[in-house]
Amino acid sequence: MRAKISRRTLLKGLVAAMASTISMAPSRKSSAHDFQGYETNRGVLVDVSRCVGCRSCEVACSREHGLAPPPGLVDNYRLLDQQQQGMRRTDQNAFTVVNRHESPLLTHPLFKKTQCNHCLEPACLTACFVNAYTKTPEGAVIYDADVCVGCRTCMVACPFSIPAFKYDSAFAPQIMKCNFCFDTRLSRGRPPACVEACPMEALTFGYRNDLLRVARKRIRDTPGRYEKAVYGEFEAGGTSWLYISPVPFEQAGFDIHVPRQPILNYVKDFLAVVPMVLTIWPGLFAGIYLLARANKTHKNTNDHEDVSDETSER
Amino acid sequence: MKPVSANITDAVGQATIVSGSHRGLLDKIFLGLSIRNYLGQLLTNPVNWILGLILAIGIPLLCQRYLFGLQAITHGSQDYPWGILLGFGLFGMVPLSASGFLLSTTVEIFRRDDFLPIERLALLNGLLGYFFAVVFLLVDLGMPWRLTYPMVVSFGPAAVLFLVAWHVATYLSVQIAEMLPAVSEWADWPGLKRFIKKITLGLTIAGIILSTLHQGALGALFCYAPAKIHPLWIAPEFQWLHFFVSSIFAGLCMVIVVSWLVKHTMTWRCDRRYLSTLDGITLGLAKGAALAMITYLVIKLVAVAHDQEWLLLISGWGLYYLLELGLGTVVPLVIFAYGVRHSRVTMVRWGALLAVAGIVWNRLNTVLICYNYRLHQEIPYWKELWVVLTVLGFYFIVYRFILYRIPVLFRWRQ
Amino acid sequence: MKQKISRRRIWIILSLCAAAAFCPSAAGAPRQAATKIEAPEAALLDALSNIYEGVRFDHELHASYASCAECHHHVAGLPSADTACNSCHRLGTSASVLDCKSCHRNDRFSQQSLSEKKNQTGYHIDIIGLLGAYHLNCLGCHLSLTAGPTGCLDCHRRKGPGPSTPARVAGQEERRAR
Repeated sequence: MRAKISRRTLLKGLVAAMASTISMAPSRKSSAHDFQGYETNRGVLVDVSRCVGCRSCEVACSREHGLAPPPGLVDNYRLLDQQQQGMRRTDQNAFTVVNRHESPLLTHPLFKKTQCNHCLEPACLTACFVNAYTKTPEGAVIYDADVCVGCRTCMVACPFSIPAFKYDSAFAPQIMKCNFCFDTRLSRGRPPACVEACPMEALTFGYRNDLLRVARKRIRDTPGRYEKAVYGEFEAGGTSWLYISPVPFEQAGFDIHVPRQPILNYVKDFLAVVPMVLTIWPGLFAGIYLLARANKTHKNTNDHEDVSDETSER
Repeated sequence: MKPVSANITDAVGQATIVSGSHRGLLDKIFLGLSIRNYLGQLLTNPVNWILGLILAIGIPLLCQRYLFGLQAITHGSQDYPWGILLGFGLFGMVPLSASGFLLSTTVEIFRRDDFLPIERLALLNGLLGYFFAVVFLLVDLGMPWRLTYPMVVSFGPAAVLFLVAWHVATYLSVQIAEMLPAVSEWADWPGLKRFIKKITLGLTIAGIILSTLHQGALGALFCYAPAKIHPLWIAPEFQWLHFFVSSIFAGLCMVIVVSWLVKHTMTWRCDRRYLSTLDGITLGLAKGAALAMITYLVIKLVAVAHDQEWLLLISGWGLYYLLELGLGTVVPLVIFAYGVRHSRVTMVRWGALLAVAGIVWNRLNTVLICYNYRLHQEIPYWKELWVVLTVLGFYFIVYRFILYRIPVLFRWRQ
Repeated sequence: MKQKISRRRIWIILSLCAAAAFCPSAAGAPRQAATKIEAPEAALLDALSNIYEGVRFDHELHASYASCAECHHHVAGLPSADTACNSCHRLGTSASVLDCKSCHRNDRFSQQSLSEKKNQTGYHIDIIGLLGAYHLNCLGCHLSLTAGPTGCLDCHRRKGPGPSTPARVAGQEERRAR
C-alpha cells in the first residue's frame, strides 16, 4: 500500500519537477548558430592617424542626443592633457569620448575615439534577460528603456565597457549608450552625427564589408603608415566600427585583451549543460531515492525497527 | 543575551510543553508573553540595541536610495556595475543558501534519517538566504518594480540571467512549499501538511535541478566577462561547475555555523533531539563538506592546468589566489579531516566558519576585486556597506523571529 | 584620333573653368603648366559653410610654395605627388575640371554614394569626402611644415554665436614643439 502511494508520489514529483524546469529551457534562435552579420550592416572606419583630437564628434553627439555639452572645450582645452592619469570613458553624459594617447613610436600624440562598436553579435544583447537590445539590419545595436530592469549585466558583458547606467535617477534610470544615431539618422540612410562632424574624415561611414576593403587598401597603399591589422574585424566576433592605427593598438588605447570570438561563445558551454541537467537529474535522483528506500525497508524488516513513526512526525 | 532567553524560556517553555495547537494566535506571536512583557524583553536584549542602531542609520539610507537613485548610496561606478550589494548579497548569499536542497536531498532522497533533526533548519536557511538575496537585488536593481519583467513582459531566453531569474523565482516557491509543513503545524492547518507531504519528492527533485542550474548559472554569468576578470578566477568552461561545487560545501558549512549559533543562543528553543544529535550531525555534515572541498580543489586545479596558468600562480594575483584557496578551502578541509577523525566538534565548527568566509571572499573576488583587474580598484562607499549591514539586520531579525516560533528546532507537540 | 580631339577640348574647358578651381602653381616645369591654366588668385571655399563662414584661400600664395600636383594629384597634367596615383596615372592625365569638389564628393556618406560604391573592389573606393579632403590637405601640410594656421578659428570665422565648439586642434602645440 505504502509502495503504491509512493510510486504515484514519485510520478507526480517527476512531473512537477519537469514542468517547473523544462518551461525555462533556453531556446536559441537557430539563425544565431553561425551568424556572419547582416549584409546591410553599416559601419564606421576610424583612422586613428587622422584624428587631431578636436572633439567635434563629442559636440555633435551631445547635441544630437540632447546630452550635456562635453566638458572643457572652450575654457579648458587642457582637458585631454589631464587625462593621462586615467582615461575618460563613456558615461551617462557622453556616448562618445576622445582620449589622448602617447606612443613611444611617434613624436606627436594620438587620439582615439571611443563609443559603442555595434558588434555583429553583441554581448549586451546576448546577456540581456529582457531582450532590451536589438541588432538592426543597418548594424546599430539599439536599446529599449521600456523593458529594462536595470540589472546592468550588459555593462558587465560588454567587452569594450561601453554601456553606462544613469545611477543618479531614482525613477527612470536606464542604460545610456551610443545608438549609431539609429532613430534620427541611420534608419534613414544617413551617417551618424559624429561622422558628419568630423573635419578630418577620421571617421569613414559605409557598409562594413566595403570599409574592410577600404581599410586594407589604406594599409596597403601607404606602407609603414599603419599597423597591418584592422581592430574590430574579429574582435568580439567582429564590430561595426573598425579601426586602423599607426602604432600597435595597445599603444593607441585599445584593449587588446578583447576575445576574438563573440562573447556568447563563452556561455554556450553552460547553456549546453542546462538540458543535460534537466534530462539526467530527475531520473538519477529518483533512482537513488528508490534504491535508498528499498535499502531502508529491507533493513527495517530485518531489524524489526519502525521508522515510520519517525518519518510521520515530520 | 542569557538573562533574556532565560526569561522567555519560562514563558515559552511552559507554553510549548503545555500545548501548541490550541493557543491563540497572539500567544503564538508573542511567545506566550503579554505584549508589555514581550516588548520589555526586546529592550533588555543588547543584540536588539545593536540591531536598532544599524537600522536607525540604514533605513534612512534605504529611503535615500529609493528617492534619489543608486548614486545616493553607491559610487555609481560605470566600471564596476555590480558592487558589494550584489557581490555579497546575491553572489555571496546564494551559495550559503544551498543548504536547503542539500539537506532535503540527504533526507528525502538518500533517506538519511539521521540528518532529520537539522533538515528544517537547513530548509529555512535556504529559504531566507534566497529571499534576502532577492531583497538585495531589489535594492540594487535600477528599476526594482520591474522585477517580474523577465517572467511576464519581455523574454531574453538565451541569457544566463534569464535562467537565474526563473530558477530563483521557481526555487523560492519550492522552498516556501518545503517550509509549509512547519508553518502548518504552527498555524494548525493539518491539511496543508498532508498535501505538501504528497509532493515532497517532486519538490526535492525540482530543488536539486533548480539549484544545480542556478548555482551554476551564477558562475556562468561571469563567462560574459572572460577578459575582464583575472584568468585565475574565470574559467569559462568550468565556471558553472566551480560555483556549483563550492556551493555544496558552502551550504553545508553554513548549516554547521547556524546550527552552532542557534544551539548557544537559543538553547531554550531547541528540543532534546536537536541538542543531543547536533554534534554527530555536525561531523556528518563536515564529512560531506570535506568531500565537496576535495572535488572543488581538483576542478580548480584542472582549470589552471586547462588554461596553462601555472606561471600566473607565482604573480601577485597568483599568490592572492593561493591565499584565498588556502585559507578558504584547504585550511577548513584539513580542520575537517582532523576534526572528524578525532571528533573535535568545536574545531569543525570554526573550520566551517572559515569556509563560509572563504566562499564569500571567493565571490567578492570574482565580482569586485579581480573584476576589471587591469583598471582601478573599486572600494565601496560606506553607505553601500551600511545598506548591506541593514539588509543583513533584517535577515537576522526575520531569521530569529521564525526560529522562535515555527517548529524548526523543535517538534510540535500535539 | 578621337582621343586627341578630346584632349584638346579638355584644355579649352580647363582654361574656362579655372576660375572656379583652386590650384597652386609651382616653380620650374610645373609653373609652365600653371600659366597655361591661368590659376585663380584666390578662391572662396564655402561649399560646406554651416557654423563657420567660408574660408578665403590664397591660391597664388600656395602656388608659390607647392607644385600643382601636391594638391591636385594627377588631374593637373603632371605626375602626382602622391605616388599611389602614379602607378596608373603615370603621365598625369589632365581632367576637365580641377576643383576639389568635382572628385571629393560633398555627400560621400549619402545612401546614394554608398550604394554606388557598394561591393566595389576597384581602385577608387576610398576617395575622401570634401570636408576631409580640405582639412587633411591643409592641416597635413601646415602641421608637417609647421607653417600656416592650424586652429579652427585661424581659418574659419564663426557665423554668430553657436554651440560650444572646439577652439583649436588639440595637440598642435606638441606637434610644433617637437
